Formats: sequence, structure tokens, C-alpha cells
Amino acid sequence: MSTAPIWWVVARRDLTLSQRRRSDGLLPLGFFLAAAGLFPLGVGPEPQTLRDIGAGVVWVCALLASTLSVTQMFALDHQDGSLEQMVMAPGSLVALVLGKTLAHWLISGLPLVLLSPLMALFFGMTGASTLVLGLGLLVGTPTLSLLGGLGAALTLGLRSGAALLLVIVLPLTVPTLIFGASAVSAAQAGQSVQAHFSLLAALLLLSLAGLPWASAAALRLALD
Amino acid sequence: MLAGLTEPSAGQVLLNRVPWCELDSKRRKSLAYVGHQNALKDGLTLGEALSFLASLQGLDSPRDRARHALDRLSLGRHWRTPVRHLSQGMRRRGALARLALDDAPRVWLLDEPLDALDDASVAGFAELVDHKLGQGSAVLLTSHQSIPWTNCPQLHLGGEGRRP
Amino acid sequence: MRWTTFAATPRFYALTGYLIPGFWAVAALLGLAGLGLGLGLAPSDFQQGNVYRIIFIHVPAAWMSMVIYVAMAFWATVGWAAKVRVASMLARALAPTGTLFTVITLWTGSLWGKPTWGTWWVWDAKLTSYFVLLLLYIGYLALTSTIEERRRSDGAGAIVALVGVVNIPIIYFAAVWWNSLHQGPSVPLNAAPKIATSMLTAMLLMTFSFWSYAFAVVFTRTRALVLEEESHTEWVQSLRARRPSMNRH
Repeated sequence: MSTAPIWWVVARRDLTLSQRRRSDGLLPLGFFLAAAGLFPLGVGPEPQTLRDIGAGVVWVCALLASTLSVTQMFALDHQDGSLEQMVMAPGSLVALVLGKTLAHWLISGLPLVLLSPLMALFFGMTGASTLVLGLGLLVGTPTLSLLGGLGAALTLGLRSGAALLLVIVLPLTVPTLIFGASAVSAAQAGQSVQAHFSLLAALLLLSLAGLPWASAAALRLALD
Repeated sequence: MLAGLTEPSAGQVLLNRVPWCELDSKRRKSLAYVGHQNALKDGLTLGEALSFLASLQGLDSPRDRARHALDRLSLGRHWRTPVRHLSQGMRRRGALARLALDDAPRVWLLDEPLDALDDASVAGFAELVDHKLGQGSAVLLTSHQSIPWTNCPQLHLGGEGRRP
Repeated sequence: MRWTTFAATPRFYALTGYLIPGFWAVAALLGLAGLGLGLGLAPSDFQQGNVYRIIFIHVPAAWMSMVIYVAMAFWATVGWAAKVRVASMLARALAPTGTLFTVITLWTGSLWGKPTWGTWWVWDAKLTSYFVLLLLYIGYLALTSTIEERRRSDGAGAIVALVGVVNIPIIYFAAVWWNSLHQGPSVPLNAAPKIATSMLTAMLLMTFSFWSYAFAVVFTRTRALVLEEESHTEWVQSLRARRPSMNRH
């Protein structure tokens, strides 16, 4: 039996753990559903209004749901000494961070993507808009997980860590939010969404290239 | 500090004459640290937890090695037991089972390894350490309790960590 | 003398002590000149009348807020990577001034926007990304002040500042890349400026005035940080002994 790559080993471990602690995956989903569902109740059922705000609301709720769960990415491992071992391991810490981010996305991000058609229904979106919403979230949620991971690494172990994480991470997520939501608006107006998706993809690639490295550096700092 | 997690405020830590911060991956493989915490996740079974630590260490066939190591420390029957159902002593032994994962000579840094161990376990641990020393490993450990070895150098530290 | 000579805190402290009064003087002089030219002598704008004159504060403040952010990211990185303590302190001292300029820009922009565009605020590309700059500054300040341990604070600040630096070119080019309400850059990088010479001169004078002010304030703040963090060292103790007035703080 040869060694599996460490990023896959740690991702699989996190997925196993999450599976056994059901609440992990359900909490972001529940938040997403509840928060997005509140808007039609709050602003009234007027279809045009809902169609206008729908994309933005869904994206913001996805953003908040994803960031809610990211605080735990490193905190639990930090508490029982696992993080220490990971930082000391001979392998690449960047690979470990990527593995944990992948697990976070699979647990907290991908379900949001899968639930988005239901959200689209809440806001009366057309089929084309729904597709653009879903695909946009598919490309955008990994970026959110990567950014969240950086925030979690930077704020590890700090009091008021969750609030601080939001303050740091939310500005960085603004481009993704804007392009994702405006893609849906463009689709609703019948315009091309190519530019939006190119930009979303570019943001993802940029994040993949730089953020895991920054997160690993932040983890080393946190453990000092 | 010796494990490289904190930088010393004065002086240097060298491993085989190479400063720690310059250690590359290959050299880091030869250093292993079992801290005060066990690094065994509550939600995993003992087998899964130890296999993971074996993978982190870069070892091949992590599951087989973990099984063998647990057998060695008489924990084999707890392969499928969730870590949170184990007593403190068993968890400590599980963490120390890392010493039995492979035979490559390493420098082992152990922080309070005898914590929570009963006398029989301490004896078993002593035997394991002797075995590692025989393989060419070095073991550096801290302890509040008296250690059942007579033939090893002992350093007694004062309160602030300086030599008295 | 090597460029790293002033990385040593006592020398840095001494040098800035000499320079700061000079910076204040230059700031005051250039500021007076710039405002005099801009408010008094430059002609009225063809379209906007005299309201446009707020540009003499708005644009220099905007430029400074962006320059300071880049400088902050730069010094924070130098401080972290090369382990130069003074550089990290400089970065930490730059943040509040940068935030101030950002707030001034947003406020003057708003005051300008109401009479000219009819609105206090609009979410176009430039303003949105500029608002993000404010949030980035706040994030940096929040993070570095929450982390108590110096080394971690310096490193975390550097990481956050670096990741955010990507926003700066976006702000600058936002008005060009996306058609928006905000005008394109008045002083483009690769073409002749589009505004009258006297207006340009006034803007540049104000910019250098703000820059000089920033140096004065940031150095003062850095000196305070140096004294605070090295209060236990010999050179600070002897300084205190020589100058009892310092012990007021």
C-alpha cells in the first residue's frame, strides 16, 4: 500500500469526523435556509422585488453560512494537539491546509450549491437564472472557503475570534460576492455572463495560488 | 523550543549541527514530538487516529503500522473503539504508540509521557524506550515522576527552566 | 552608512527626532500654498462652478490613503520577513493615518457628490472598492490590536495587509474598467493631465503637504511605539534620565 497524498488523508479524516458529528454540516445549511427564507417574509411577496433582490440575498447568506462554519476549521485541532502535530509534520503544511479547506468546502460549501435551486424558487427566478446562480456558487464557494481558512488561521485562539474573522474576511469576499450576484442579474436581463464567470474563476485561481501558503504561515505564527 | 514550535530568545537549537529553522523536510522526518496533549481526535476510533498520525509522519502502510503498534502496547482490541470512550491512561498509551510505528532511528521528544500511566504501563513504556534506543533513536523526555531507568543522563531543571 | 543603519531603534529614534519638526513645517507651508492656489487663484470649473474645489482635499487624501496602504503592507512584510522590529512598528503606525485619509476621502467625496450628482453615495465600482479599502484598514487595526503577542501580531498584520494590497490597483483602475458615475483619473499614468495647470499644481501641492503631514504624524507615532516596546532597554532608560519631561506620559 503506497502513501496517499497528505491533503487527501486529512480531507478524508475531516469528512469522517463531520459525518459522525452531524451538526457540523447541517448548521450552515440550516442557517442558509433560514436566513434566505426570512427575506421574502420580511420584504413581502411581491414577485418583482424578490426577483430583484434574490441573487444578492442568496449570495450574502451563502457567504455568511460558509464563514460561520469556518471558525472551527483549525480550532478543534488546536484544542487537542492535532494542529501542533500537523505543523511539525515533515510533509507540507500547505498541502494540509488545502486538504482541510477541501473538506470544509465539501461539508459547508457544496451543500449550499446543491440547495441553491430551492433558494432560487423562493425568489421566483427563471431556469436560466437558477443555473447561473448555482454555477456561480459552485465556482465562488471554494474561494469563500479559502478566504475563510485564512481568517481562521489568523484569528486562531484569539478571544472575539469569530467577530474578528468576519471583519477580516468579509472585505476580501466582496469581489466574489459582486461578480456572483451580478452574473445572475445579467442573466435575468438576458446579457452575457461570460465576463462574470471569467472573473469568478480568476478569483478562485488567485486564491488557490496564494491563500493556502498565507494560511500555513499564519498557522505557524499562531502556534508559536 | 526543542520541537521548533517556539524560537529561543537566546542561543540556538541544533539537530545534528544544523539549526532547526534550516531543517528541510527530510531532516524533519527524523524528529518526532509527543506533546502534553495526545493529538488523538475524540471522534475517531483509536485505529483511525493512530493511522492518521502515521500518515502525518510520512510513513507508508499507515493502517498496518498502526495496528502493529497498538498490539505492541496491548491496545489492539481497541482498534475500533472511539477515542472518547477510552480512559486517560489508554489514550496516553495510544499517543505513545507512535514510538512503535516504525524502526527508523529518530530523535523523540516526549513531554510528560508518564502522565496518567499506571505502574504496569510505565514498565511497558520503559521497555519500549529501551527498544527504541537499541534501534539508534534518541529519547528526550520530561517528567515530574521518577523514571525507572538508572543508566540514562538526567537533567534537573530549576523553576525558570535554567540550569540551577 | 548602510540603508539598514536606521533599522536600529536608537538611531531611528534619534533621526526621526530631527526630521519631524521639518516635516510639520513643510506640511504647513505646502498646505497653505496649495489651499491658497486651489481655493483662491485657480479658475472656476466649466461645469461645476466652485463646488469642485473640494477636489483639492478629496483627491490628495485619496492618493495618500492608497499610498499609505501600500507602504503599510510593504513595511509590515519587511518587518516580518527580515525581522526588523522598527519596520513592523512603522506599519502599525501607518494604519491609523491611512484610515483617517480614507475617511476624509469618503466624507469629502460625499459632500462633493450631493451637489454634483444629486446623491450622497452610489455603489459604483470605484466607491465600492474604495469602501473595501476602509474595511481592510479596519481589519488590519482590529487584528493587530487584538493579538497581544508581538511577533504574531506583526506577522498576522503583514499577511492581512499583503492579501489586501490586491485591492489598490482595482480602486485605481475601477473607473476605467467599469463605466461608472465616478470620473476617470484626472491625472492618468500615461497621458497628459486633463485639467488646468493651476488646478494640477494646487493638487500636487496639497498631495505633498499631506505626505509631509503623514511623515510627521507616522514618525511621531512610531517613536511612541519604540519607547513603549523598548522601555526596558538601557538606551531608553538613559533617555528618560536625561529628559524628565518624557516621564509625563
